Amino acid sequence: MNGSPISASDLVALNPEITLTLGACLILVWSAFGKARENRRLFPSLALATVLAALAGVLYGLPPQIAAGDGSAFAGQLAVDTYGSFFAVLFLVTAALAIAASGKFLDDESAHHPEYYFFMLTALVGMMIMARGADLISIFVGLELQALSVYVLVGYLRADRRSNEAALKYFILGGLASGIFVYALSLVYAVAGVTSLDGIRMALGDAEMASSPILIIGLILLVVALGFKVAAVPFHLWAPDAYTGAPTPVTLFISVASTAAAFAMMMRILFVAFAPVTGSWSALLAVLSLATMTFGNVAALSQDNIKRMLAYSSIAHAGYALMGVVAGTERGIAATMYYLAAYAFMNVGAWSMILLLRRQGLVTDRLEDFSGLGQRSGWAAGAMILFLLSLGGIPPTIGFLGKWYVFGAAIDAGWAWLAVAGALNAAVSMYYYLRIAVAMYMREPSDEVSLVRSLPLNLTLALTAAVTVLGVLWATPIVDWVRSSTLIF
Amino acid sequence: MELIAFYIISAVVVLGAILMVSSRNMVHAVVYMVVSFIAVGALFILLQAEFVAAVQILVYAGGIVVLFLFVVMLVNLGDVHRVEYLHKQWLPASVMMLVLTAEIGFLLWGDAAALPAAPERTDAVLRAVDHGNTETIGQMLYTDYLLPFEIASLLLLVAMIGGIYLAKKRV
Repeated sequence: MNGSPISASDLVALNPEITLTLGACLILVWSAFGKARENRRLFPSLALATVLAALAGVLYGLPPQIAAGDGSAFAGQLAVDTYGSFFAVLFLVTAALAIAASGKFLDDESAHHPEYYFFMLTALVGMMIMARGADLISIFVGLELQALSVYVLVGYLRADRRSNEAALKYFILGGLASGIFVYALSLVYAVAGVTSLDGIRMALGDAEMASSPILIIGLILLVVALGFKVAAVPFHLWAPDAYTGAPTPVTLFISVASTAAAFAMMMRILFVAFAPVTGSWSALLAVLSLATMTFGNVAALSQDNIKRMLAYSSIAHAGYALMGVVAGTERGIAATMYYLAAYAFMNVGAWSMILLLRRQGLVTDRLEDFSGLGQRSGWAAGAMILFLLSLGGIPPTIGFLGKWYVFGAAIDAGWAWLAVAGALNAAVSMYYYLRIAVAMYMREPSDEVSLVRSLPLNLTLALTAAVTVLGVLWATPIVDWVRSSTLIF
Repeated sequence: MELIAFYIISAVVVLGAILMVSSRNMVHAVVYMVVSFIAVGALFILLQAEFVAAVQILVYAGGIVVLFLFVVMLVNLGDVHRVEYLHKQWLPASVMMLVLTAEIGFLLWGDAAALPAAPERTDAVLRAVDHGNTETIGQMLYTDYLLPFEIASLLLLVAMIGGIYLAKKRV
């Protein structure tokens, strides 16, 4: 309690978040001066520079780390470990791709405002605190910062009714989930008497405390709230509407980064704080995982709106990723982390492809828009095939490796039935992924649909397509990185 | 004595909340909400958390309720009586709620022996009672909880800019 509350090492540990906050404030202040708002290049460049600076800060600016529990800052509020850094890099790379893919869309919708980048950067700060927080209070504040920024982004197109509706639904249901989350935390605090994750872990070492009914109610509510945040069935109801109604570049960002942040938070809370009571939550999550992938895939089968189809596909992918959490082993955590990274690239690619197409100059999201894409642009159709194969889990793509790792981890931990269900689900999902492929190569192109010309968007597509295939070759260093960042100690 | 006071105040909290959601007149609903908020403040006093109680009264029963009343009066809510709120979902909702209540009841009373004694007071709570609430909370906010405190400030900035962005006529 005495002495200076922060030291230089605390600020070093927080440097990526500080960079992002400064960048966000700079954008906000700069946009108020003169004709800066009319400049379309300035703010995306500033946002991209901020994200890249934060990325450099994560990779080279943080103190050397080995594993979880390795170091902490701000009186134990912030964990400095490889696990947090891995997710920070994942969010920042996704954000850089999303910023590159967004510009043209916002220009065409004449909604290119600096606030877009401000909210994206503040959402990133929230996500990084969710992944790096070592105390329930910090994690919750980070979660709220992320959620609030994302609500505004979902309703970003203010003149669009669907965007408004999506934002309102997301806001109300998200507020409800946050309420459940805080209630769960209060019950956990009532039993453990501390809010730090390590402290809860130590308190639950006491068998009497670990079997307390209040703790069990708290834990169930916690799983419900976390399930909501990763859009697990039956807490997924917000996801299809929010993902479909949101502006496409926002969907691209939140379906990858927000989901990964929710997983980062979920795994840190469950594996660090609630490790002594693994038995109480792993079966619960197994049921969620099965329901999520099955429902997501079955619902996606009948969709003719491509955004809605990919939204249900995102739900199904959350189900696969949950499998590694259910396994509860070091291998399971590593598998989920790898899966989320692979999912980030293939999903950003698939959503960017929707951004590439416009019908009579307007936003479009129908499956038939992809008709004849193979004749019109062989490169674009080829890249889309790669993304679809990867999402379906077909070799030689990173999506295949991701599924291979999570299924392997589940079998290894004695959840063979879940892995079998996952494999069956992957087979089902190929049906609707191939519907897009059939449209691209077997149907005649329509004159109404045209391809957008934008260098940053094409670069995003090229980069994600390259990683989707070549990522397999460099799997080993990523897997090593992921393995070294395990939370189990 | 403390226990009796707790039950009476809690009953007021719950009753106020029920009347709030069930009342058809918006102004009445807001007044019931004040009752519930003030009773929650009384619960905090019972717990010797004077600072939190004062904040509860000032911010919630005071500021927030005034905002609510402004909205109720400025927005025309004349047709609110005719809106169908429940969409015939009251039956499944009631069944689910009964199941949930039964589950929580089963966990709490079915296994009363396993219920821990009132949790020991943590260091922070002891310090707050001995050295005064406001000082302790202030000290903790600027030492142990400095990081969440700073992030909360960014959160408020986002809420403000977000509200302006969504509501302003011309961006």
